[in-house]
Amino acid sequence: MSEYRHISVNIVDDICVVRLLDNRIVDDINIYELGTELFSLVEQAGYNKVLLNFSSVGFLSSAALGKLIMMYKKIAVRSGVLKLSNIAADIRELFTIMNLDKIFSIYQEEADALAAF
Amino acid sequence: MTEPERRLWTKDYCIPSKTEAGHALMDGILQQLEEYGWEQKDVFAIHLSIEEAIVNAIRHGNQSNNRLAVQVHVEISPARFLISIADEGEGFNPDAIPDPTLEDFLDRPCGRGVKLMRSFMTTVSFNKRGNQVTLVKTRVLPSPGPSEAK
Repeated sequence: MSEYRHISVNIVDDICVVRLLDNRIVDDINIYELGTELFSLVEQAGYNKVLLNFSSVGFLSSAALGKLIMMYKKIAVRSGVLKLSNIAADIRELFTIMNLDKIFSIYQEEADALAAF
Repeated sequence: MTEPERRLWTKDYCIPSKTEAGHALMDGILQQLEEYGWEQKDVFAIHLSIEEAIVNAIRHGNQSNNRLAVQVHVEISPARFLISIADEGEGFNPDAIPDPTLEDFLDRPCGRGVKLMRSFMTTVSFNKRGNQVTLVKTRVLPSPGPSEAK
């Protein structure tokens, strides 16, 4: 199992459940590293069903949203599925403003998202 | 003059083009907002907007060139927040940015920050050259109770 700094990974059946560990996702280097870790799950480990749990995230910037969009595209070209859960109300508003709630499947709780795969 | 208008906190900063310097400046501003009784939802909105504006100034305006500075002017009162952020870059035309919420532009990195600023702040304005942005957020303060209104 790879060592990650910004995520923890748990496999439930064939679903890769990822918890984002950083409370604030704003720093350039951290965003770059987070992207690298997330993309490796798809490109190296080969998971095509991924759930991102945001329960620890209190703040993120538009640059972080960019990594999530790239993650979505990488999974979509493999005909995979990406779901998001446990997003705080303030952050959820960012997704709505940017129209990202139209492309991401967002669930209140992790269990709801797992049941929807 | 009313009490909210009297209590005005202002500060000017000149920071190098490093995001660490921007984050240290933001921490001080957020602390001041909380001391002035701004609600968490508004603090989040302001935090997000100034994060985007300062990163834009450092990365896009000054191209992360450490010899170039970012000038910041802040005014905080209980009812109004204003921040003006100027870089030394050539500037840009904010009206020429494509809408980042359109499907064809979703994965383009430009435009998301300005879109978020315009959504979260009361007003967002740029100078003619496009190297200075001014963000304002206002809020309606609750009316003082009968005992406080003397």
